[in-house]
This record gives sequence, structure tokens and C-alpha cells, in this order.
Amino acid sequence: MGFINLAKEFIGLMNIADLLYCFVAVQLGIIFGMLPGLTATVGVAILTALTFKWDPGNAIMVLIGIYVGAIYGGSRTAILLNIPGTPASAATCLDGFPLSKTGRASEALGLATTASMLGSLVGLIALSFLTPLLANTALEFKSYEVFWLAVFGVAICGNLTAAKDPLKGWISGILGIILSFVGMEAIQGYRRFTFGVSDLMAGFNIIPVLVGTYALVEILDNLTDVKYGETVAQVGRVVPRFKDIAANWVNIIRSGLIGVFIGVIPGVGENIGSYVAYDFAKRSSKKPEEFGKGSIEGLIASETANNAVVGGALVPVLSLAIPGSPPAAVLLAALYLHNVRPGPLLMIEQPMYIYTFSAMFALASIVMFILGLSFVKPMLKLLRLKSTIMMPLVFVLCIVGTYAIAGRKFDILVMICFGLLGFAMRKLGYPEAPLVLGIILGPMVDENLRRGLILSEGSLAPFFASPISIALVIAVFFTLFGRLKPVKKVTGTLLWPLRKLTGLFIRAKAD
Amino acid sequence: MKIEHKESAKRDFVTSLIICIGSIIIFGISAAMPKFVEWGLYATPSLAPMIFSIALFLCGLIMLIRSIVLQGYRISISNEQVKAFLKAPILRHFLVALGLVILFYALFRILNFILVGTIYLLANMMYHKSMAWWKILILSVIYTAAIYVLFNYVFFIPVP
Repeated sequence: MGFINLAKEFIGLMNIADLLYCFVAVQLGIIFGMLPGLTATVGVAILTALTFKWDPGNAIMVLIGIYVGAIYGGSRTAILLNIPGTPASAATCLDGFPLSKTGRASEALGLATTASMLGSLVGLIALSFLTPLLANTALEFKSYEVFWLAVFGVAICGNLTAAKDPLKGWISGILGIILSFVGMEAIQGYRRFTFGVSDLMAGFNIIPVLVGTYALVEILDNLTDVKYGETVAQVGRVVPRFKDIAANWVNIIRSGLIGVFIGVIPGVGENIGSYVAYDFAKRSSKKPEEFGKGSIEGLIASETANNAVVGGALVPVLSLAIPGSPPAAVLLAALYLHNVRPGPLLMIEQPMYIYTFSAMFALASIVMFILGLSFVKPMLKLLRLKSTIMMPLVFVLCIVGTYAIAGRKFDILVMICFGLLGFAMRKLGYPEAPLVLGIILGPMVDENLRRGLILSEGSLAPFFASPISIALVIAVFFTLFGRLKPVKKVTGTLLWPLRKLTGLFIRAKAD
Repeated sequence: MKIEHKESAKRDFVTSLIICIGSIIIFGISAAMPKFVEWGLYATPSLAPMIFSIALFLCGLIMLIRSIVLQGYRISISNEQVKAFLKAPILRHFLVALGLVILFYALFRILNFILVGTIYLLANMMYHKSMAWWKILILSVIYTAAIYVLFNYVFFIPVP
């Protein structure tokens, strides 16, 4: 039934207007992804502001197109210049650039394009079929479960985005949650942390926060640490080698599933997904020594995963109203702007919307594949544009885009302040993603905590009563304390029988 | 302790102090909020800010202890280091970039967008000597005017 609905919605998009919007949006996304300093988040944030007065269908189509195109576009500079156009393509540099250096740039670009499209297809399957399942499960969530889910989201995001020092990730997340408390709270209507400033009564608008934290930080970074242009390798006709793709079908499915799984985790994003998939591909490869020196398996793994993350990241957006990645966070804000209410009630209020959304995603993926194999040479000329020219132009666009949302100059001040905060955080090693996720999920944490306590008349017992709550509490516990030696020891002891059984099974199979 | 923690011990010492002090301030402001006793103390608007300011304080404290163990408090800044930092091109580039952003915001409140945008682009690209001055001028004017027309007359989003 789901597949039929998806097909129906996809056929509904086969008209000149939607195709044109999609082509332009994906191409723009590829440009955003290609140019270092411009990320998918920046692209989606700027276009959200530009399109917020458009028809919702066209606006969301454009935003999905930009998102899909930008995640793929980063692979071009990763392969040709060893500079990831977006953080999602950082793992692509490891094998893409060595392939380019040995004169196989065209082949690498073709493989990256095909792998990206296949990753998107895996993401599409997850988006179309996992979202209704998760949304139906989410209807079982009461205030207690939503509270723990929001806490878990921030905790896991902090853990994964600052893997070397999760403490900094958690500090960033908690700071975001505290910043979300600014403004009039939802239960008693009391104004918190406004200090008499009337503009702060509504709290911080998410678009200026996102533009400041992601776009302005990149602009300041690029204008501060000015890099000069690199010579771009010559590229011939970009053709995918199907025999390489066919020989890596296990790698593609595994990387796609890893990408979807990472995408579903709140706030984490494409760069983590591509590295994890790369790591798994290296461990499972028969030639791990080739990784980092031009391994096709490595290139395919990272590009499949980072595009699969896109689909995965949109699953919690639609089903739980929780973003799976920074660009998904902007898309979530855009959906609210266009009067779409994502979350568990979407399946009840607008059940076909998931398939409309998935159809747009499918179209964007196909268009990405077509554009990825054509218009390569003209687009590469854009790489000669200096960052000292591009960044000021982007800044002007950011200012106008931020102002356009509500017509308030105060939003520009918010953007600048968050840009400075994000810049300082980056220099000090604090990840920005948990901060933004904290600001998005903070109201969920606050309202559901207090609502739950009001319903239970102050008792904490319901917060630990249901199986979902218990599972989430355990997940939060292991996220925060799982690396501590005593916890590892206890877990090791508890899981010893299972490990023994697994070891015996593997040995028996080998024999 | 891991190598990356050792390298950032001094920065972590300073930032953890700021985090601890900041979280205490947030806790104090939250504690002063009205309690709305008729709803029950557990429903007070200060509940979540207090909980998370305590959590932030604990994280800051752990980082402070870690940085002290790694002797992050041994901060010695010599005159030569200060001079080198003040002369570094990166600092100059950052101050110019930030200064122009603030100037843009200040002028945005007073002047027409096309004028402000042109001034900003001109100043930025001239500082970095991105291309010939007349090309910068043409690009700045055309780009800003194009954005103005696009937003005001195509997207119908008024720009000052």
C-alpha cells in the first residue's frame, strides 16, 4: 500500500513546474555543496528564508533538492581538491583525492555520483516505510517518554559529535537547552531570562540561530584564515563504472543501512555516517591496506552512507519532529513555517504527506544522479572563485534571509551573536550541533517534564514506569556513563555469557 | 589522560571557570523566579533552568578538575607571545571581518539596504584585495541591487 501511495505521489510530480523547481534546486544544492565554506545547512537555511512566502509544496521541494544536492556536491571538491565541500564528504577525501591524483578523477566522480544515488534510494526506503512505523509508535509516547527522548537526543548528539571529548558535546547541548528557556514559557506564561527586552519574549527564532551558528561561523572562519585557490585537476567525461558498483553491492547495502541508522539518531548528521561506514568497509574489506590510497570500496562506502543519512535524518523529522541532522533541523523549521505539523499526529492529520515528501526526495535523488553526470566542467569553474569574494556575498544573502523571516532587525543581532558564540565554540573544540539541537529540543524537555509532573502530582514514578521510558533511561545512562571503567566492567560481566555463546557459534561456523 | 585533553588543558581551565560561574548565575536567576505555588512547586518555571544549570555546573566542575590535574592553571603569557599574537594576520583578518559585520548591522538600522550592502562588500573585498577596485565596485553595486530587486519585487519580501 505504501509503495502504491509513493508511486502515485511521484507520478503527481511529473509536471514541468515541479521538475524545473527540482532541477534548479538540486543544481543550486550541488553548487552549495561544492564550494567549501558553504554547507547543506547554510543552503537550506538561506533558501528557507527566500521561499517562505512560496506555495508550501514548491518550497519544500526546493529545500529537499538543495539538501540532497549539497550532500552529494561536497564529493566533487573532496575528490578534486582534497577539501570536503561539506563536512559530509570529509571521508570521501581519503580515497577520492588519491584516485584523482593517479589520473582517475572522472572515474572517481562517476562512482561517487552513483554511490550517492544508491545511498539516497536506501534512505528513501527508510523514509517511506520507517516513518509511518515510527510515527505510529510515537503515538504511544506520553509526556514522560517525550521528555526522555529529548534528553537522549541531546546526550547522544553530544557523544557522537565530540567523540574525543563527549563532555564538551554535553556542555554544548546543555547550553543549548538553557538558551531555549529564554522567552515566555508555555505553561504559566512567565517570561524567563528576558531582562525586560520585549524582543526576547518569543525566545530565539530558530532560523537566525541556525544561520548564525552554521553560516556566519563559516564566513568568519574563511575570512579569518584565508586560503588561496588550488589548481583543479582536469576532468573528462564522468561515467560510472557499473562493474565496480556491482562488485560492491554488499558494501553499498551495508553503508546505506549504516547511513540510515546514523541519520535517525537526533542531530548527528552526515559526516559521522560517512566515517562509520568507511570504518566498517575497511574492517570488512579483503584489501584494507588500499584504504586511504585510492580504494574504490572506501569511496563508495562514504558516499553511499552520507546520502543515506539524508533519508534517515528525515525519518525522525516527520515522525517525531526531532531533526536527525543540522540540515534536517532547518527543514523542520521550514515545515512549521509552511503550516505542516510534523510529529506523531502527521499520520492522523495528513497521512499522505509522508508519501508526498518521500516522492519529492525520490525525484531529487534521480535529478541529482542526472546532474551529477552532466554539467560537471562548467560547475568546476566555480571553484576558482576566491573565498574573499564568495563569503561577503553569502553574508549579505544571510542578512537578508534572516531579516526576511519576521522583518525584525533583532533577528540579525541574534544571528550575529550566535555566529560569534559558534565561532568561539569551534575554536575551543565544542561542537555546534548539540547547541542547536538543545535549542530545538529544550522546549520539549521543559514542557514535558513539567506537564508530566503536573499529571503525576509531583511523582517521578511515571517517568520510569513504561517500557519505552525504561529503554530510554537505559540509553541515556549508557550514553552518559558507558565509557566509565566501572560501567564497562559491569556491562562486560553481564554480557559475558552472550559473548561466549557468540564466540562458540562463530568458531562452529568456521569449522 | 588523553593527549587531546593535555593540549587543551589551559583553554579548558579558563572555559570551565566561565562555565561554572555562568551556571551559578543562571541558577541564582532561576531561583529568584516566582514559584506559582498553586500549580505545585514541581510545575514552577524555574524547575528546568535550575536542573540544567546544575548539570552545566557539574560538567564545568569535571572539566575544571581535569584541567587542574593536567596543570592547566599554569598559564604564563610572555610579552613576546602577546606581541606575536597581536601582529598575527589571522587576528587582523578576524577583527576586520567582525568589525564589518557589526558595521553592517549598525548601518542596516539607519541606511538603505543597497547602500549598506555595497559599502560592506566594497570594504571587505578591498581589504582582501580580491580583484581590481573598479570590478569590486561594479560587483558590489550590481549584486546588492539584484538582491534588493529579487526580494522586493519577485519574492515580495520587503527589504529596508
